[in-house]
Amino acid sequence: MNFLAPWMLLGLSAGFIPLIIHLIGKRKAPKHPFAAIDFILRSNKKLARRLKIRQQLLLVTRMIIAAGLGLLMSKPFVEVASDMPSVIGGNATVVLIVDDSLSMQRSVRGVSVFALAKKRAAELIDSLGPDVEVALLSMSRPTGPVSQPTADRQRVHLAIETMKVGFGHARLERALARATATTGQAGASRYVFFLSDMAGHGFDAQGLRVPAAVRFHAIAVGGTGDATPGAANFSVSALSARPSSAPGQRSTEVVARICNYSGVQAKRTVHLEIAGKIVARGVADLPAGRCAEKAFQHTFARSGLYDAAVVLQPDALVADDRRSTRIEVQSDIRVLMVNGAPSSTRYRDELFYLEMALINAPQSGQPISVSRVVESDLSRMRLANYDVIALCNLRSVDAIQAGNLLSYVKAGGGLLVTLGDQTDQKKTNRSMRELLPQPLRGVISASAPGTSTSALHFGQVDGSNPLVASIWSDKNHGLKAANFWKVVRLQPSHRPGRQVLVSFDDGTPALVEARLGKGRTLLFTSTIDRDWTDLPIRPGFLPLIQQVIKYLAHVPLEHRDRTALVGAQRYLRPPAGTKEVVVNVPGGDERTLKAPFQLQVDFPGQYAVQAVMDDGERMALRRESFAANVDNRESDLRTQKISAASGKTGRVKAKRRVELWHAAGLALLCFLFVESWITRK
Amino acid sequence: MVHRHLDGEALAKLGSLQLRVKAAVDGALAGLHRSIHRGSSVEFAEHKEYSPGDDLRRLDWQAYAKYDRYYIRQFENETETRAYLLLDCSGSMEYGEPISKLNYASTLIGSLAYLLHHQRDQPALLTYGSEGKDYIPPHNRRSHLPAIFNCLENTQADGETDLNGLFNHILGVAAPRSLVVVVTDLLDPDLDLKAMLRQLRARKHQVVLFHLLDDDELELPFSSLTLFQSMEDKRQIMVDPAGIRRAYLREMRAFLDRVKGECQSNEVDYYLCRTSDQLDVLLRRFLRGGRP
Repeated sequence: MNFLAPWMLLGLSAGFIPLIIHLIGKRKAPKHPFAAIDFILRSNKKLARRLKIRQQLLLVTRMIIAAGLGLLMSKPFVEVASDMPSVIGGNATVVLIVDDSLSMQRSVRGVSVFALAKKRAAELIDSLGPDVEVALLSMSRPTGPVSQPTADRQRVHLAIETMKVGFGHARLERALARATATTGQAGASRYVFFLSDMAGHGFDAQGLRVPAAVRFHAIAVGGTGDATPGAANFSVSALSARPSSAPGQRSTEVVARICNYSGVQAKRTVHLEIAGKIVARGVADLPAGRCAEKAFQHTFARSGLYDAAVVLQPDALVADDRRSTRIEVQSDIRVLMVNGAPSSTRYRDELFYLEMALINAPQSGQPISVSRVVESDLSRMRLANYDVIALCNLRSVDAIQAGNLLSYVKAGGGLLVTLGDQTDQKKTNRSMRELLPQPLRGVISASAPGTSTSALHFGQVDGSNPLVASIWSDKNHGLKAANFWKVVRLQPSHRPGRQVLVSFDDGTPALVEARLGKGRTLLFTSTIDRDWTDLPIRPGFLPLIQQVIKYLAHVPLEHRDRTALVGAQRYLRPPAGTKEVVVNVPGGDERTLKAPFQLQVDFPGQYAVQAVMDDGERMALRRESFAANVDNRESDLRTQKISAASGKTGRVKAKRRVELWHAAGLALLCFLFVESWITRK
Repeated sequence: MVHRHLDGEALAKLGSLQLRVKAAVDGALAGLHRSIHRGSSVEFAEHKEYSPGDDLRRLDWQAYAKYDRYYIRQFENETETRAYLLLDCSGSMEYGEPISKLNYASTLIGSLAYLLHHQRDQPALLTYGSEGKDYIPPHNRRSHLPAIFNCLENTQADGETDLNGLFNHILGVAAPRSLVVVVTDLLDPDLDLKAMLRQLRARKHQVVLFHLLDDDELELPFSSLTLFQSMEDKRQIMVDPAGIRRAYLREMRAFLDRVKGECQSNEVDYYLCRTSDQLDVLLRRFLRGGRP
């Protein structure tokens, strides 16, 4: 025990004053002749023992009170080893950085580490001198909540009370840079305190850059080292879904990657949730410190978009025990190919390259089923059974077929028309006047087939069109090198809904789109086989054809990631004519976004997106809806020690002064109460 | 000389016993509706209807002429009473401020002697202390009262109490059917009060006991550590009065209850009085037979 005013310990001798008073009082007690002394003697005899104890107690109590006053005035205190700092007083600036990243959600004996950190922060503030100014920063948002140092402790306490732990991943470096800038006041002592679980993912263990004038203190909360309670954490770190080879039309394999951050092998129960219902359960065998995959098979009743999640049995950090995604179960794109120039030689057949391109579609994409007929069979085909119809080098179609095709397109079907030497341009112009974007005007020959000199190539493209944008990037897979020796010119047209997507380098349209009703027609002005062009043998032919078919079938061309990480920005892409976007975030809240429809993802879970159109109508954007997951870097709760490259650190084990005079004063009050009670007794 | 409040303090201011007695007696008589002086044996008291066997000499002929009925005249006191006034002069009677119990008791006895003498009764005085006893036999001559006053004024309180001796002495000298008035604090641990009273009553004495105590003895109002010393021997004790007050009062209450009970059981008139009580009021109460 130490004393701030040790010379006041002389006051301890005041403890003898009651004893002296007692002895003097006993000696100088007034003598009083009294007639009824027999009664006094008898009363005293009965109470003698009790009175003696009472008097002794009273004397001792008074001695303690008198001595206690001297002790109180000497201001006693003890110094205890603590990760809290020594008393800071005078002209000083203190910045507190509180770690509010996901790992701070870990619970220790029912209390979250974040709550412990807040408590320690409040204690720290209380221990500061009255002139010290304090700022409070969170690691995920270094600009607040109290960005500038203030002497208003109540404000800082209130800010601590209202701080909430997040779900994101945060690094110390950014907050530390902000903190050192905040303390930048000349002449004042500068301190930065970092309250964290010291999980190693939050900072660079090899050294932090701290200015020499700043004292940096790292205060570990919730324990450190291998014995840290709850540090043995498990998480679902990744989740994917793909069509399964198992029997069933919509059989899907869901694969979860589950990581074990503990030092021992463990088995954890895990289950798969589809649309909020548990559909499969299992046990994951997890080697120590490593990850393992756990696969579930599930067959969906129908195609569509499903909310899915893999959930691990709860541990100390619950937020990373669940990982969500959205699984799209797609139906086939049915394509009817009408062959206008069949051939018994397979590679000379008009549809050979087209069919090859479609049946070799990647497994991960939407499957395409292909049907082929010759020109004469078109009239007996039920067009509504197909998503896309490709008319390849047909001589022409009659008026009835053209009418059927027009109805089909207007109802939402997709029509691809490719030309060739079989095409009767006049008849085609006549019968398909409404279907074609532009009438045909005759064949032009750029050069002899097989030569590259003077051949036409793809030239200008309309980048605003999603079809072109999806394939006409820098990596166009050799499309620009494709040679076209013959193409069909088109007559000028001003029909609405017409759009030239790709032109040849001489300006001749190569791919022209016409919108009819709910459907589309694409006119390709060359052949789909190698008669007039070498495009089919170019690497870009397959993606081009597949994207064209998807485009005509109204399948989104761009792969949209349906998951996001908490803490990231999500750019939503509503359709044209959207006034605002409404997002239902996990927890039931609703957020309304204006253009550019940028959403800050703060919580894990499913986000449902709706578009509010200009006319006020609401439209669910199921393909824009997504699942958000926590950053699995936060799952590793193993702690590390901080070593700063500069700054006066190493005071982590500082001794902290615990003042005792408040407790001593309280004890004295208690003794006064006891003395009063004994006296009244 | 009449005092409105003739309490202990007022009595103490009156120097001699005669003055105190006069003040007490005047005050007592002034408050009575009927004079005590009817005590003369020839003083008419009331009429009583005649019944056979009554003394015809007391027949009131004037009443017969007026009411045509026979009435017998009755008188207050028909014989001279011997009254033995006993004063405890033990050391404990010296206690009391501003007036000691002894002075208060002397005044009380002097007043009674005065009243008795003036109604032609024969008062006697017996003071009993450690230095012996003074006894003035009953008489009714003119010089008797000054002798009593003189004795009372010269009485000193000292020594141990021997109330048994006091009572035994009066049993030896008092004629039967006398009035025995005792003024004492009864602070004698050896006193067998019950037996003494029974013997007095056996001799047909009318006994009146004035139990005189000081306020300090009844309330023990002291607060600081005090060395209490006995007034009759060398006993002493240092005690915090506040600590024992409750037990002391309990003891005192039991003592008073016991004395009162013994008096009642022996048909003794018992008056508990304090030195702070107004003596004239006390006397008046006594003269009214205990009624306030």
